[in-house]
Amino acid sequence: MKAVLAIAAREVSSRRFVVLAGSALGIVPLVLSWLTPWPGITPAEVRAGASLLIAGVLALAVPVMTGSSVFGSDLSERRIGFYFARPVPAFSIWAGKVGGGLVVVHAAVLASLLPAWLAGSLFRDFWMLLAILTAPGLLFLIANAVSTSVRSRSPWIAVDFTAGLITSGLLWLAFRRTVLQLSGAGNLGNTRVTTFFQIAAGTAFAVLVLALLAGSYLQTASGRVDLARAHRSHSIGFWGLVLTFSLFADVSTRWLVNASVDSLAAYWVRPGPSGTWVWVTGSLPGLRSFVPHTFLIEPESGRNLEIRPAVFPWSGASAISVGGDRAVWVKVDPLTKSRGLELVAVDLTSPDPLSGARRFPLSGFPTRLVLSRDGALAALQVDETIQVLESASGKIVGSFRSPFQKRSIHHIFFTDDGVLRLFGETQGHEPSAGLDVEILDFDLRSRSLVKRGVVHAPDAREVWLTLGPGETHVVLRARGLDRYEVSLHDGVTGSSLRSLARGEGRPPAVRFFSGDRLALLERGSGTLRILPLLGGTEQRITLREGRSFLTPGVEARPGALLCPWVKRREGSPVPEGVGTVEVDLATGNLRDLGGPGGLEGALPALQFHSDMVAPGSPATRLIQSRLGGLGLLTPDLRGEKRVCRGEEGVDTQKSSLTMND
Amino acid sequence: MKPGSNHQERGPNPIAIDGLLVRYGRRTVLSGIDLHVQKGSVTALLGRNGSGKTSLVRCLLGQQKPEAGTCRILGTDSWKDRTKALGRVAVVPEEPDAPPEMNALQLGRFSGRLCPGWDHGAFAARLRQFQLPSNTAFQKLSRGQKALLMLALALSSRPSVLILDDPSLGLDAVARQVLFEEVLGSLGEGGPTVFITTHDLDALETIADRVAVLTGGKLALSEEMESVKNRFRKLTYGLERPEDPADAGQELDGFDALSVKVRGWGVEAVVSNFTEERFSRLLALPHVVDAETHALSLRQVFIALAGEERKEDQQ
Repeated sequence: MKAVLAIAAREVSSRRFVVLAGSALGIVPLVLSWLTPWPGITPAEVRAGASLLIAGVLALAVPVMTGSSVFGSDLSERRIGFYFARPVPAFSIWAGKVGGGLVVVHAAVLASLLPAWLAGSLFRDFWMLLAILTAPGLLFLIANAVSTSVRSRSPWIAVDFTAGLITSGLLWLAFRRTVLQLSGAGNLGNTRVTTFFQIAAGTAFAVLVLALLAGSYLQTASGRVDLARAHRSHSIGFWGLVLTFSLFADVSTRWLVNASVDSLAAYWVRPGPSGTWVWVTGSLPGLRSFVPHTFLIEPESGRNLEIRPAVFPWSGASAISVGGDRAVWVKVDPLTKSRGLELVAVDLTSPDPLSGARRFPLSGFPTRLVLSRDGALAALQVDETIQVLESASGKIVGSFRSPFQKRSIHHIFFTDDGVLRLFGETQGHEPSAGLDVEILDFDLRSRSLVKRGVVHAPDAREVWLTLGPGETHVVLRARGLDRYEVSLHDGVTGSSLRSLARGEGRPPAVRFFSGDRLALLERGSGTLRILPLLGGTEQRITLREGRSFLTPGVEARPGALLCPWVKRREGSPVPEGVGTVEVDLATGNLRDLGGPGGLEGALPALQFHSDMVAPGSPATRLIQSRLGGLGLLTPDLRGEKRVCRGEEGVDTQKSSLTMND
Repeated sequence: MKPGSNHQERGPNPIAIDGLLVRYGRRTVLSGIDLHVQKGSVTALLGRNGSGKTSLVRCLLGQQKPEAGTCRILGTDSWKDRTKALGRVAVVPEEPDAPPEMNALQLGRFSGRLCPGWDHGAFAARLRQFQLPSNTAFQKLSRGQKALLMLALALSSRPSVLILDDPSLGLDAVARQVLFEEVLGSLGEGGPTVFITTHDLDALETIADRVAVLTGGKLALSEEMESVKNRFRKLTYGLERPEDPADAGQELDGFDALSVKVRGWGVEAVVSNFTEERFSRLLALPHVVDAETHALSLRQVFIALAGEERKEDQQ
């Protein structure tokens, strides 16, 4: 320790003029602020600006100057032999010289800031202080490495260069791979992802500092007085650590982004209209909401495609054609110009859809994306512009500006005869006049926009529209100040056909079913009302008491609904149990599906999906455990095969799908 | 013989070099060097420029890793445990390498914190003795002053082994004399074992009691100075019946002749295995007349050996 301090003191003493110069320069901002009138700028701002400028210049110049001479010049001028001819351990020589050098560079920078800081003109920002304390130290060590390398003129310069290229490549690939994957599903703003990048950047910084320290130590301990050997030792120490870290980063990020459908904990499931193909977004167990993966899966056959990066779970990012032959999604690459927005289109009937994928640039992120029935056309809403393009060629076949505000469009879809139909909300002139939903058709042949009808919602402040099969009917749920009304309307003209329910509080949940029927769930009473669209007797089924039912459920086989429920203790927001009831519409019988009511009870994966999916299709038979396990029920709803494992290896077969009558 | 010689045969050798091999790339600088320096002796290592003396000293000080072989100081491998090996060693380097901005007093204080057994009093006394300015930065001292200051620094740590790597390089005659006198003064009972490399062969002759010569990357010689002087001799003789000059020197059959020169008056030869017996046989040859033997200085021995090396180089 005595030797370390002696050598460090000598390093500081031999460079004391640098620190003195820093102190002298630190007074300059004070003098400037006193002597010179600066129009529009307060003296404190002058002091702060000038002081930071001087400190910034010193923070660059002093470490480079000091770092390049701390070992390099001593080695090239053979002065380092003074220490190595004495019984001084290599560690003491290294620690003394590096420690002394670091003291000098930091003291010079801090000395230049001190007068302005004492005058109260500097931001007392932790991050700024941290940068001032760490950046010169890092530069000092880098300058030593570069200086040793350049002065040695040994063949190891080629090794440095090659290792630098390999490291840059590995780190860039790891970074790009991670950013792409983490940005998937709109996850980049996730605080855990931000924290991940902060930790990754912090680790990389720590490894860099550690590698520079290790390199400079080996340079001293093994290279001793031989400059070429010192360079070689530094390179071995530095690149040894840096390349190891880079390889670790490469391997770990490969692992991070690599997933199979089976290994996934699924947390978003979106079906195509035919229910044969399903978007499943989830994460590897233990990484929930952290690294999303999206698969386009065909549950019945087990075929799947991984969509990289993961796609956003809302309707603007992906679509499947009604026939289930084509799929499109939006790809975002945050590391490229204009975020690299692309529309990717695949033919799902192809044996390898991804290899034949077509990509078209997008001008903005669409808020809505729909496909025509055969998938040949895609319509996108970007801001208030709606474009129609061919999904095979990307050719724009029509474009128009929506008369509705961006967030006022309720539905866009292609009708059977190839017309693009819009349901958009307009507000009356008076706030009390309620809301109207206009129905407009865009004719692709004439490229004209035609108003087809309007759904009136007098007194409404909020409206929700649910489209029926074939778009012939639409259910309007309108909520005013204290009352709601649910009514059935014509899907083209918007004219009111009949009122379905009126009341106070939350309007009932609605879903269309096969056989031109409509289900309304009155959440308060737990009563399921089955209404024939074309008139007839209404059927009422009372679901189990003591349970809250969330939605009318999913038609998992024609004439049978899977209804999810939740059970809570009074006053507690935490569910005591969740599960699913199978409702036979013909008999009105109920059957519990799932375990004994534990937290892992299975729920229909499409429980909150409002658009109608083909009854009995695979998508309607997907059930999901709370921990992301995903299973596919057999058509008779009495057996199950696993699709996704879920968190912690939860066995959906045992815990969630025991059949209890 | 050097004054105050405390040559002792007993005890481990303070310096032991075994099988030393040093290469720079494909060039072999030192090969198969075995050199043991006895306690209390003054051993001189001679060699032409580039013969590997400095490489050997660096390996000895643990500053350079040999390709093969070991260097031990006071029984410790100097590469593997340099700090322990140099615990009682002082060095005067070829190029004075003290921190340039420090003056003599600062260097004394600094060295005191780096070297165990530092004697501040002895250092101050040597500064006075050498008339060295105590407040002048090292970089502003003359070459001779720097060398003397380095010697003062070395001796003030009271070393058991003193290694001098061409300490007189570039010094004027007066400075050289002062330096070697001081080395001589440090010797005596309990004084350090000295290992010195130098081109100042005249000065060496007064202090070295053992000499080693490096030629062609190998040790051509390593023995007592006395023995060297006994076996290296210059022989001169005339020939009664001058024959073909090409046959001159045939009479030296029993000698290991390093050089043979035929002059107008006869033959001049340097031999490395002179004995009275061989000389008597030369004298007894019928055509040899006026044969004389001449002692050689260390310089002449070295030149003769270096001449051999030059011949080998030329071949």
